[in-house]
Amino acid sequence: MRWVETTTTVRFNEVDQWGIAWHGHYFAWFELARMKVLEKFSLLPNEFTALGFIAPVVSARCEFKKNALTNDPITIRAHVLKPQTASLTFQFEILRQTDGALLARGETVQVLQRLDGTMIYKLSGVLKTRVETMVSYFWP
Amino acid sequence: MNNALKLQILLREPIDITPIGAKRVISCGKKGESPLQTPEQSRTEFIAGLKELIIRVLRLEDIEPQDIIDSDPLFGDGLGLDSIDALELVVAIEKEYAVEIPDAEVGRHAFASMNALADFIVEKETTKKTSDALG
Repeated sequence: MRWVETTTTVRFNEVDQWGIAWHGHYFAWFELARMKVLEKFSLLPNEFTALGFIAPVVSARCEFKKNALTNDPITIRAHVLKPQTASLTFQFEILRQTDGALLARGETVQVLQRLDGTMIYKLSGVLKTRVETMVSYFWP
Repeated sequence: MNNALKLQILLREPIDITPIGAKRVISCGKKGESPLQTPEQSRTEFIAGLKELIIRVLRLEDIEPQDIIDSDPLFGDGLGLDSIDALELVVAIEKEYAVEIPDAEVGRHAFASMNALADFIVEKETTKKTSDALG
């Protein structure tokens, strides 16, 4: 199984008054990695829309393992699970670059809807092909 | 009894399209039961099977088949299923009954209640068998 990685640095405005990264920001960091994945497989939000779909998140969770502090260089990595249903499940890890420590682990689930809001229960056409290409990259 | 056979029972006029062997088996019901089963009994059994499938697939540990009311909606107020449940259920129904529910528009009818779901599956199966028979 492979990951797609990206990096960032914890900014001053991302920590709380205890000097620890505020928990909500981890989801924004996950998003950096998700975009990197989606870009690679022509599934960015605008590309999704061009195909006639959106992919809203219906579930998101995060386990916080170690504190991220101001100016910590971090790596965010993501992969997509093999789908059992017409949904996209991304899993994420955030690592501290200096010592490789795992700071957080998370997951989001996205369902697929047509632009009129109708949820689809089966993938088809170009969307199916692109999703399958993306999944097979992570699970060669 | 497998589900294909259960469906046969529910078909109104299966004479021309039902394998002969299957017809004999289906009228027997469970071992030791009367071989004569009314359509109502067959339907009740079919719905009971559907309920067991839903409970198993969605891991509804606190719910017994008899807790699910045949006329209650599966989503929202009734059984309270959500969109991820719908996706799992669709996959299970396709696997078990070879019936597709492509999107929520179709799902709105199919998942309206247990009765609606049973009707939907039987109707799709009947259409499929008829068109197969017509070749």
